[in-house]
Amino acid sequence: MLTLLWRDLQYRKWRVLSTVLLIGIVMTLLFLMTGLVGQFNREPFLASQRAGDDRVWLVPAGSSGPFTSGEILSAAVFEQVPGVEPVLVGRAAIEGNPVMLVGRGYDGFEEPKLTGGRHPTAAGELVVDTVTELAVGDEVLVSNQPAVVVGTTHDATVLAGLPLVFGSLDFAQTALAAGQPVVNAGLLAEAPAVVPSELRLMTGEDVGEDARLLLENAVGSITLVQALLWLIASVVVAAVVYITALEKTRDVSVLKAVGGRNRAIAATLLGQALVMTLLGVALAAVLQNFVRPFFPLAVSIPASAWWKIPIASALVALAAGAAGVWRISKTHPSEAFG
Amino acid sequence: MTSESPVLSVSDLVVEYVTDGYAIRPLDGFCMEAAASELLALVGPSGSGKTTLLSVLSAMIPATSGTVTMNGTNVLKLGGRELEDFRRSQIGIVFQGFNLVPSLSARENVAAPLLIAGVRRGEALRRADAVLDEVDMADRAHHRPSRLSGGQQQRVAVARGLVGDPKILLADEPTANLDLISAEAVIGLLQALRDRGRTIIISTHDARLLPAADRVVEMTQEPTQPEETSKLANFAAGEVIFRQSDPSDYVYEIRSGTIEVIRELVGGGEERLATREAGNYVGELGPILGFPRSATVRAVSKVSLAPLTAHQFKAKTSTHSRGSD
Repeated sequence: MLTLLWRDLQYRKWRVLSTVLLIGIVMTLLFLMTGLVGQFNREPFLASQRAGDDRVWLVPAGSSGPFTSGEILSAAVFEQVPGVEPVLVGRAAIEGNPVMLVGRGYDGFEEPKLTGGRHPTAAGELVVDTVTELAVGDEVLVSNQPAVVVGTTHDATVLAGLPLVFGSLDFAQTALAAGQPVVNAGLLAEAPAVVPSELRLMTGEDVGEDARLLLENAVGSITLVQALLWLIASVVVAAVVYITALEKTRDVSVLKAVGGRNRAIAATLLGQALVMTLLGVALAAVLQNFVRPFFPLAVSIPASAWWKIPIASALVALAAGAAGVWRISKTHPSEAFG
Repeated sequence: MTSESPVLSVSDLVVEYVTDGYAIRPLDGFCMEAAASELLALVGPSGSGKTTLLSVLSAMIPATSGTVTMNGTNVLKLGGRELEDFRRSQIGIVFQGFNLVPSLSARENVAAPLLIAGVRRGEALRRADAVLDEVDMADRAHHRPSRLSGGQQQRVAVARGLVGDPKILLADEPTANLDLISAEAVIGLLQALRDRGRTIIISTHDARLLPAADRVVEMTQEPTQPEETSKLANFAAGEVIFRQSDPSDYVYEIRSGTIEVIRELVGGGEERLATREAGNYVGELGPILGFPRSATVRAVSKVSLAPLTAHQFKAKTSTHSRGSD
């Protein structure tokens, strides 16, 4: 049967190549969409880790989370809890580009991990994510406050690509609160025995989940686009396989007339659907590498996608090929007599 | 018929199918035998049941009744895996128009029945090469059908029919679409295969094939040549004048009374197609064209009919025409 399958693929090579190309383009988009969703699901938890260093967060009782709420309190409220590290997180701008400024202490913290330079040791010193395209030594204005980049980090963005910028608490209070001694979060190595009534506890997971919820609609929209892309891929495969089945009606009737079984003949058709689809997926796996750098948002394709998408594609190919198989099953061997 | 015991025996074969709700019987009580090493030609006009018979012999369509025995096996009783094995091993088929798979080379086309039966590729191709050699096509084994002439394609089709080493080879119009030289070559090939012990049954319109056949089986009864008569035929109300599928003889001129034209329906019912009264003709197409009756005609009231031969009818209606079949 492999001979029949291979020869048929050769005989219809231009159609096969066109189909593989079309499926490859659709699957490239599917890989990128999957990567976007992956990034949206991964980014908020990484941001929580970069800003919170796997510690426990204290936030104002009415706050949804440090990245999503503007609620601030006097630093004195947080300082009631022994060992707390006050933090001020808020939106700012560097040279007109929006960033999320994180002001806190750095002694004893491992995060953010640096790709270059050092952590801030004085007001006006910053660690920035590499997506800002700033380098160590660059002098910038953060919400009109002069600062200098002393370190860089990576994978430190939030809310779909907004870069995190790390500075001292004093600097953040100057840039975000006109120098007022206010904060909107505190970090602790472990949960305190008593939490003041004005505050509540959040784990790093809670903080990440709070930021992720803000992107839920975007993720939902992308998921819908993904479903449409699967549908397009299915329709392409189904149409090509069905047309092939129609063209092969006479061949199929002859093969049946000489003793061929429905199952065996259908297998060659489904084999074509599988080969075209999996070649399309393989092409997409290569193509996405070329397209990804031009994508405005970070794309993080989950490791599981590399086996889930081919398996799902194979299942889609088999389902899409069902129409062709149905056509073949309806072909009677006596049709070979013409 | 040879004196040897038949390898194929067909008796009282009836095949009925439905077209537009009407029951059609291309084969009705058909009988035939074929012996080993016999080249038998089935001849008859389109619609006479040649291809239907080949379809039944190759177990592709069921028969309504009757028996088809091939090498001791009642073909009509086969089903499932037995049927597929029978098609593959007992019967070789050569289709009209070659019907080669265009994506496969000549040897792969020949090997296809073995490949889809699960025979290993090497073995299937080895046997294909041997059969291609038998039909003198070994030097074209790697060519696709599009690069072969009509005669060469037909030789490959014959080779495909032989690759399972069947006792009986069925060929549907094997010389149709072939030029004289190619047709002669195919006829010679079929005779050679017959001489090597195979039974070959061909359906054909091609008169060139008939002298090569050991026996010719007419699929339709010769049209009767009725004698001219001036005697009127009288029928009582409800009496059948002629039945659907009967051989055609006379055209009838209705002198008095009313007749109805009816067609048998699947399940035993009937449908009235028309009624005719005195002054009209009925049953004219069958005698003129040599076809069996396409409908039943029955007297509605007492009728008196004047039987006319086709010749008389044509002469009588040369200036005007009335009636219908």
